Amino acid sequence: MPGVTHSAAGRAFHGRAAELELLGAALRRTAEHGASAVLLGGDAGVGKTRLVGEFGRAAATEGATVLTGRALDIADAPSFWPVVTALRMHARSGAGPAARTFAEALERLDETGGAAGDRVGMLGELGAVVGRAARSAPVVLVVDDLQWADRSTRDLFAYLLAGLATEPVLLVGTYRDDPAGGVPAALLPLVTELRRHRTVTFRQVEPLPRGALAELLGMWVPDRPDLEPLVWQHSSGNVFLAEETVRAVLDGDPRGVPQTVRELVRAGTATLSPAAHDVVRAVAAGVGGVEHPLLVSVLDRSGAELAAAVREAVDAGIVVVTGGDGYALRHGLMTEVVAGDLLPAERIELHGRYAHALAGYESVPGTAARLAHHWQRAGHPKEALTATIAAAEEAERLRGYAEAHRHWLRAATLPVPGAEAARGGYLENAAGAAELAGDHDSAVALLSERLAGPDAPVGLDEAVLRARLGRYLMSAGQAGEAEEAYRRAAAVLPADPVASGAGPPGAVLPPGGPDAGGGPRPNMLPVDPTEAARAEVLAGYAGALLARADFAAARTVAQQALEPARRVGEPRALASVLGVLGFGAAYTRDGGAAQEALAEAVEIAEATGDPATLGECLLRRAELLSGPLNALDDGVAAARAGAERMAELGLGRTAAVSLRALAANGLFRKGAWDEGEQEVARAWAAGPAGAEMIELRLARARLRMGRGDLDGSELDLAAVELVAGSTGLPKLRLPLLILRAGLEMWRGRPEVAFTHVGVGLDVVESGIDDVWAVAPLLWHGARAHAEAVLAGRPPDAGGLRRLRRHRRELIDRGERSDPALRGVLTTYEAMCTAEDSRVTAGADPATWGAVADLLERLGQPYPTAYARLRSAEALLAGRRRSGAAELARAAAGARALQADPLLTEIAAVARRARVAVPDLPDPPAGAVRVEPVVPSSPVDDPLSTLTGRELEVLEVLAAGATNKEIAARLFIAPKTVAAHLARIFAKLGVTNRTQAAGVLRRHVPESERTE
Amino acid sequence: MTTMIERPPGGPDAGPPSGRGRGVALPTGLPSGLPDDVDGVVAALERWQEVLERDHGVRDGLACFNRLYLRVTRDIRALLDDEEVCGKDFLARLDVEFARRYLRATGGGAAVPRAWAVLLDRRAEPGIDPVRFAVVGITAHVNLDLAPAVVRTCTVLGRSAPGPAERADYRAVNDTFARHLDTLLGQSGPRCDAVTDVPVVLAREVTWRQVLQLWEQRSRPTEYEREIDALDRRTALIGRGLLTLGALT
Repeated sequence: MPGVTHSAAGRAFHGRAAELELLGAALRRTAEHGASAVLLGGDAGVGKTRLVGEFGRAAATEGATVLTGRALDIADAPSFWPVVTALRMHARSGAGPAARTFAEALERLDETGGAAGDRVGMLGELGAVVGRAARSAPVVLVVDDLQWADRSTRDLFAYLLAGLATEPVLLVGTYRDDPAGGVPAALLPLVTELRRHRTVTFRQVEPLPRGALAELLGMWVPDRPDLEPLVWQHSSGNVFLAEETVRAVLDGDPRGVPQTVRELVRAGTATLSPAAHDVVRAVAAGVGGVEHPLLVSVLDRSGAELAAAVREAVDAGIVVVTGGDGYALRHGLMTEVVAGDLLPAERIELHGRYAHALAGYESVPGTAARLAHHWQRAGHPKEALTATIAAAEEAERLRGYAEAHRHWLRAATLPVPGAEAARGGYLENAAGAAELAGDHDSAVALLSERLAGPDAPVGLDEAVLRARLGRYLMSAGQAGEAEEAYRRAAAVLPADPVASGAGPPGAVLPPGGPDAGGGPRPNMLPVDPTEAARAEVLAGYAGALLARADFAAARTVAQQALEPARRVGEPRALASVLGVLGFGAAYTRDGGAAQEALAEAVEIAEATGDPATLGECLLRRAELLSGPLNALDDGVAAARAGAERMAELGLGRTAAVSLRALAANGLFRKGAWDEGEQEVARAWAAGPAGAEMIELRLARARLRMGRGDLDGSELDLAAVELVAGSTGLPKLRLPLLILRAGLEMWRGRPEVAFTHVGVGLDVVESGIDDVWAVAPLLWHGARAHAEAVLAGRPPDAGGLRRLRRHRRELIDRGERSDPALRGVLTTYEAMCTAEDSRVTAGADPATWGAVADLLERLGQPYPTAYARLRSAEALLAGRRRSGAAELARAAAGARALQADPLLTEIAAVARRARVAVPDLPDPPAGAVRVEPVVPSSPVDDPLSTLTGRELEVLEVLAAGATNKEIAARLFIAPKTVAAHLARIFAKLGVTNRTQAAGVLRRHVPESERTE
Repeated sequence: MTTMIERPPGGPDAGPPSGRGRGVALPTGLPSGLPDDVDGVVAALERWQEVLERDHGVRDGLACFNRLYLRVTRDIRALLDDEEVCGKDFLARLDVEFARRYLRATGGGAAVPRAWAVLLDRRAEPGIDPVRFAVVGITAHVNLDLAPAVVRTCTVLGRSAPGPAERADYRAVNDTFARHLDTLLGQSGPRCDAVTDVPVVLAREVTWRQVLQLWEQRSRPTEYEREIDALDRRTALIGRGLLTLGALT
């Protein structure tokens, strides 16, 4: 090699000061703000990897724990690959508490997949590992080539951001821009979610400017300044192209300096000896870093010979050593070119050799997926199938269900003769993995395809599969479809031998009363599969009917499910049937039966000694009490006692958190907000993760919003959205949108709130029509509409028509429903109608008063105070005397709750209406100055001659209001407005409204005026 | 490849009644199981051609379509063998899923969709010329089977949505059909009336919209079923019209 060793040249790094500063500042900020992320996009070869490598080294010298992983460029990569390899490398090479933490965690993961029960649990587990490490020093987690990362890794990114609110963790991701420009398609969902999160920074890494490239070139080849114009012309600042151009020039390529990446790389490898060239080809065909022993087996060369060949390739700057004992080509672009240049025969041969060599390493984590990749490329579908199944099972152990989903699909489509019979099973497994990955749509679609396929199961198997489809549909929020799926499942169930012998299907209880068959039976006899299927199908059917608010039918079917469930004796399933039965009974006004069913469920759970089942039963009982049984105090007490119990049983972070979140929601409803906040704080202190963290954050968002901590509330909502988005929890979508709409309303942006409601209606129209959530959504819509109209920014007529249509549908539904549901829907409809009355001329001012009375009777202090405010507004607008008293009642209610945003609104109404209400907060800073501050002189400030009321009138007028609108806003008669205006014009010496508004604008800065 | 006909073929009168769920099983002439790869599809169609011609004669309505379909599939196989075409997974799988729907619908066993029953009911009518039969077959296959086959292929390959790459492969199938249809019409001379070139030309964009719509509904199985049922009815209507001389001219 002439003159220069390329490896030395490759190491030089220069410039990128702005990017390094960005990363450094982001890391420093994590000390205060918790986890944050920087995502770096850019063209291939622009220098992203070098940049983050450089930053990682700097951060490590300052004491940070730096974890670096790279995603694999294969279609179906092992779960969490970049993260797990990064942890493994650090555990192996690093010292200190972090390395020990990682080593222990990895050991647990390798053995059992950790303690995690599901994928959100697994994300929580890994999040906790990183969080623990961050206690001793800040953690930097770098994932290179995020566009290739497995979905579990991408989900973890979102999860860490949402979950680590206080730990100093910086996530750095690099991704290659799409060839067509912009973010690559695989990353779009993640990027869309992250963009909403304020602790995420996006930055394009641009090619080096000419000056910086020239300086870098001076460091590579100090004696050749003459190369600069050529290198700039060929690379335009792309560092990889610049390096390769320099190499080509120095090697004196006789064909002239190549221009394209492909030609450059070919020129670079052309000078190698045949043995070194083989090394390069072999490494290019490998996946990720190719370990030395693996390379030895693939190339089948003697040690000394191979060592020399590898040394040559490394010295030529084409092969680099990664992570201790592996090899890779220096740049991904090189790998692509070299691998692309392999002839089909060479490719098949190399992949076959890899597959044979790797077959000895099957116990090493991550091997199965690589093996499947090589067998498939080598044209051995049978061996690929075996490896693919192993990869799927390994992914499931790691709760990497998104990858397991893909592996099972691959298994189902590999053309292996003789494997046809097993394919249906692989499709079912794929559906199951998709479901656990939170991809409910794919799970449903796959199982539907399976059921429509030529070899679809029949009889009992069909019933079980249809019930599973029903279960997936339920978790997709599609209760209507789920009901149909379960109905069909029930229809193909074989006749019940016991029931048909014992009496008509309606005769539910076993002879001798409920206790005769009660409790789980000793598990001695093998369970009849027909019985088990019957129990499962009917239990699911009952649950779907309950979700559809068809309470009577739910109760009937649950009772039919009870008997086989008792005979099967699986406690969790039995408890779940009893739960549905209880709710069905409660909603059909049979409180006694409801309590009995839940008491039995708790009893069964106690008898099994399984704390998780007990936790579910306690939660359900508390829900029953605070929900349909209308015993809110009892429900809260039951939830609190249950939480204590669960904490004692070691479920302080999971079941206890759910119970406390339930208690907090109950306390919020009954107006005991201080106590609610205490419950949230206690639960938060336990450090919940996953689904429980989501529940708790929602409870806290509600409380914070009520109390006026709007930013804190938004933080919780954003965190929930981040997790819910990546794990696709459809049940959360409507509650989240409702809370978002509420938040925007308090922020004075009703038109934005209305947009959120519109998105909610999209969700409803997609079949996720949880009736308990639809009603409050529609009320938020009606309120947002009224407030947007009042603010002079009315939403478009189409949106309003749609809202009205949904309201009519809900009324119809109420008329068809059981009384329990009808009552709730009627209340919300009354609230909607009352909201409409705010913007309807000639509406009855008593409308809101009736709503407030209704809400008060229902024991809902917060909505009651809100309705009183609206009632007072309506009465004051009609200049009724009772308005002042109503406003005082609203204020008293809001004050008792310390509901600050509501109190502020009440105060604003009091001020405009000139009603004295004691103990109201001062107007917020920046609002209107009722009295001009320091009136200098009438000449300097003509406004100083106006009275407070006149100034108010002028303010409203300047916003473009008509006399009628001014009257409505200030609760005075239009005639009075005219009188005020005449005096204002005279005092200001103007003749019309425009001039008057002009005077105001000249003398009061924009920022000090209202709205 | 040993499964033989177990029952004598039905004549026009013994053909399956139109309508879903009432289909009488057709004689099974297919190799055991449905094809798994493109070679398998070609082999299955070849075998099906033999069986159809033997049992119903070369002028059999379904045989007329199958002959054309076989040519189309051989072209698609050639396309896949071309080294320059990359990302073949989708096209290969689509070809298989598409053919499986046809073989299941016409090969006996399952209930015959209306769109196919229209053709099978009148497969032996001497007054209908072979080109017309082929056109009706294309109409049924492209309109009824192509969109669900694209959706199923996306689902079993784990695609996040039918996007530009999938659309390109869908078009490759659709355009191959269109090309063969043009050739066929060109050969048959002016004797053919104008109706014969309507359905497929019409189908290209319509069918892709159908793909997108079905994809939206894939997580709502009963809604999906209803949509397929409506598609079947619409397609049968067109087929019936095409078979009735002068109906659309």
